[in-house]
Amino acid sequence: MELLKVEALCKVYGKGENEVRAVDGVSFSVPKGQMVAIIGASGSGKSTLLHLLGAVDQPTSGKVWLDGQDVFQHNKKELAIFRRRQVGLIYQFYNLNPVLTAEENIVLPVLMDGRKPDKAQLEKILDMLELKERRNHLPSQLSGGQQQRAAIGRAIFTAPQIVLADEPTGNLDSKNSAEIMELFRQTNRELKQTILMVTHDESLAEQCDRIIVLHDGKIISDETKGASKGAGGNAL
Amino acid sequence: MRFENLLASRYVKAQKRQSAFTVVSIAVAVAVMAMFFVLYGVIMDNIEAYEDRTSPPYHLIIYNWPENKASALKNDPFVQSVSFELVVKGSLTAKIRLDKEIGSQYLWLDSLQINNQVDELDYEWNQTRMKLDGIGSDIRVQKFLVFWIVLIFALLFAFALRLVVDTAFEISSKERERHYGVLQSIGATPKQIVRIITRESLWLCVPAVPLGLVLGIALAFGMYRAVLGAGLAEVLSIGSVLNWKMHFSVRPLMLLVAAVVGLIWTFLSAYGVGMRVVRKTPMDAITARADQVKTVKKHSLSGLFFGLSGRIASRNARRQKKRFRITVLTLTVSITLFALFSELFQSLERFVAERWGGDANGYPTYSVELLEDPDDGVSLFDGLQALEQSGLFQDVRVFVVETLEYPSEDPDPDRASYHKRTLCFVNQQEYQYIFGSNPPVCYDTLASSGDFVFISPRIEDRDLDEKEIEHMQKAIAEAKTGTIVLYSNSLMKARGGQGQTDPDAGSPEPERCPHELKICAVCESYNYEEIRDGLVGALDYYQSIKEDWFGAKAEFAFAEMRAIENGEYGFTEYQQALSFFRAHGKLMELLEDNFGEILKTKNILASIRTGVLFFNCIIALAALINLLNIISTGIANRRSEMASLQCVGMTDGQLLRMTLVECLQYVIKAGVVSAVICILVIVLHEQLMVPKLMNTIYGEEWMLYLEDRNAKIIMDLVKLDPVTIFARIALASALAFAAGSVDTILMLHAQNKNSLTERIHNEA
Repeated sequence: MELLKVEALCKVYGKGENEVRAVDGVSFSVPKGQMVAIIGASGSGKSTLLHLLGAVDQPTSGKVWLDGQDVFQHNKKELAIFRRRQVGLIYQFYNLNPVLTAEENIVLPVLMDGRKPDKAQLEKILDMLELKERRNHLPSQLSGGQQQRAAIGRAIFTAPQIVLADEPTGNLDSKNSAEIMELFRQTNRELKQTILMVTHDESLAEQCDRIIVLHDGKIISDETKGASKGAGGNAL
Repeated sequence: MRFENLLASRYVKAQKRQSAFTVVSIAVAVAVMAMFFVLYGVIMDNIEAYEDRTSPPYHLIIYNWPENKASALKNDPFVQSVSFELVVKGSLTAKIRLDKEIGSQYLWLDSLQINNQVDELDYEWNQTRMKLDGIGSDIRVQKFLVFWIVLIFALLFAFALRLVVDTAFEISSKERERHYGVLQSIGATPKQIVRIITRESLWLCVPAVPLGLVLGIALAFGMYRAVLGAGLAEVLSIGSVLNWKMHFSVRPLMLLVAAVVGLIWTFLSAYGVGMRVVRKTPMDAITARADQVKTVKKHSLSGLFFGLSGRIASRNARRQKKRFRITVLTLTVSITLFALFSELFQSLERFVAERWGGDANGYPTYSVELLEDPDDGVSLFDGLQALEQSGLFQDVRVFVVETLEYPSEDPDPDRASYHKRTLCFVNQQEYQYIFGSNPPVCYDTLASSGDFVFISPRIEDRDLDEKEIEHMQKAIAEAKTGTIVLYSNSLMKARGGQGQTDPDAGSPEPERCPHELKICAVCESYNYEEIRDGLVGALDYYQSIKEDWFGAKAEFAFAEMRAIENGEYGFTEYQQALSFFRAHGKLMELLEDNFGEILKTKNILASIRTGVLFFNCIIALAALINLLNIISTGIANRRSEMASLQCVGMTDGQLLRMTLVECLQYVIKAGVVSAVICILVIVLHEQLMVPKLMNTIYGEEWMLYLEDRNAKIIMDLVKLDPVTIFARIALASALAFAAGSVDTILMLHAQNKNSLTERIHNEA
């Protein structure tokens, strides 16, 4: 079942001589529960693509559908609620709020919704993330791996349709990287979570169900484990 | 707790330095507003207290209320109390206090007249007392007007102070823009982001507003004491005839207004910042793309003068244009106000000193009316004697004015003034003052002979009608014959008791006594222009004929003198002279007090100067807070960036130069903008204000008077000197740069205590 659909997506920076086509007419689709790696050289447009999919940036042209909804048809407020409930974003540098504890950071999307966090769910996630002991610590008191785990917790706490991770292990050592990847696989397996992950690391990408390769803003390869689809994406 | 509240309170607690700066900024803004409102209250309270003390206690005085209708007035429901005084039989003077519920006092008075069938009332409203007691319909309009004037003033003033609060929020939000971007990216709505920032502002107001109010009261009291101490206290003690002293009071309403305005501005500043933040996409906020240098200027002035450090500094300034502009704007405002205020004030000071100080020729002079009371046996000569024997004055010049009538057959009452002749009896000092060292006749001869000198009018210089010219020509012709016959009359003779005749009262025709006056000389005198065709006689002769010709009381007797100066004539000597006049209140009344005027002017100017200085200091403080904070937060936020530069070989000296150049950019831009504004003000002043002033003094054809000496002096005095203004701009800019440099050095020194790795790691 198709969860995400991207059609002729473009993001252009600058004008005239200074024009840079960060994402250049990308089209593909992702079925529910798939774990996708987006790889490519620096400046290939991976992060920009991810930010467009998460609706944290506006495309120059093109469309994105999530669960049948045209994402950029929403106004600012609707987009915010969409991100809060349907998307989980994870950044390379964690981007946790420095004034909130690990636990508060994890439940933040629910607090934004004006709801009370589900305690059982919180305990389950803290357990899974191995953050129980550090739940009341501020980000500055956590290690890099712990901060990234808290960021993952924040991304999956609302059980969003899709998790978008921008180089989630880019700032971590190999041990922590392996642990984070295991977490992703676990959530993908146990929670049937759809995950799109940008990475430089081909060995990490190999652990995903599908690998999309970007070059100069265009998809040059799109391979699903067990079946090669070639450039241009698996659906369009 | 809602997550907005949670985050707002956490930001306040976590970012102590930013919070403290914002609290200080809000407190300073509220303090300055509170200071002005409290001072406004102090001025109003003192004016009210002064008016209460000096204004009569009634609201209305009726001079001709019928005696038989006194009880009707007393029993009127809107009359609170009334006191009567019988002046003429059948007619009362009524002093009335009115009830607050009266409504329109005019309608009430009309109905009072109609109900009591009184045809014409001679009355006077005591507006001051009515204003104090809040009586009548006008008071509502007045209160409404005052309310709006104060409100508009408050809003304008508060708008200027909003810059301070704006800068504080701009800076603190800038630091957190990335956090807001992340919050948006994980689902915070724009409304929620704005709410976080506004909630935070309200949290910060909790300590800031009370602190600002206390500081404002302290500042107001400081300014009050400074202004009083600078000379206003002396000015008030000059008016110590009233034994008046100012007092300091704080109106709670004024504090409330300052607090409310402070709260509103803080909220609006925070709201504005919030709206700016949410206008960006989350990624723009996270990556600060908007603040990145988009175009690279290969050549910049800073780069030209300061090399690589200058180039980096120049690009840094372009990274955060809004922040750069706000800092430059606040600095510009303070530098411009300082330069213009001080120059305008100095120009005003020059003008006042020349206008009032010049007339005094540097001497303390006084003039008095010499009083007479035939019942107490007090004559003007007693006053003269007291002045001469006081040991306080010298050069006492006496001038007694009397009027005699012409024997004329002309029945036209419109030309009554032509039938009168002014006689001035002067003492020797005044005679010398009038005619100088070459008098037409020696004073002693004039005194012994009883002759008069005729002051010939200058007909050709005057704008006279035909009848006036005819009259003056006749007077000159008569004077040349050597004698003039004039009349005194019996009522004038009895003037000491009852005053002027009343033709409507059916008084009998006055008895006329002819006097033949001998004219010994006819001459012109520029010093006595106002007398026109008058006669000057000796005071000694006047003494011998006064009773016979004019009666017990002189029409007007005037003395002018200089104080005896042993060394510097100061406030103590001046107080002695005032004590003398007060002690001799029965003999003389002080009319002009030149030294007091100079003293008042000087002291008022000194008080204004102190006030302006105080005001300038506060503006400078606000600007300095902004500048220092921007420099220090700028350095603190770029510690990783600076550490990276140091890692690749930038020396401490180069780093210091780079940050100093940044500071210099703020100051130079502010100085240049200030100079441009000042040039505009100077041009406007020359093109609009000066012509308007000259128009007021000389009329529409003032251009014709430009060669006139006085006009030149005025033009010179009101001129704004560009050189002084630019020198002040340079001075203020240099001071700002010095303060910024000290801050920069201290910040870099503190930062360099940490290792480069630590600094780079901290930023990450």
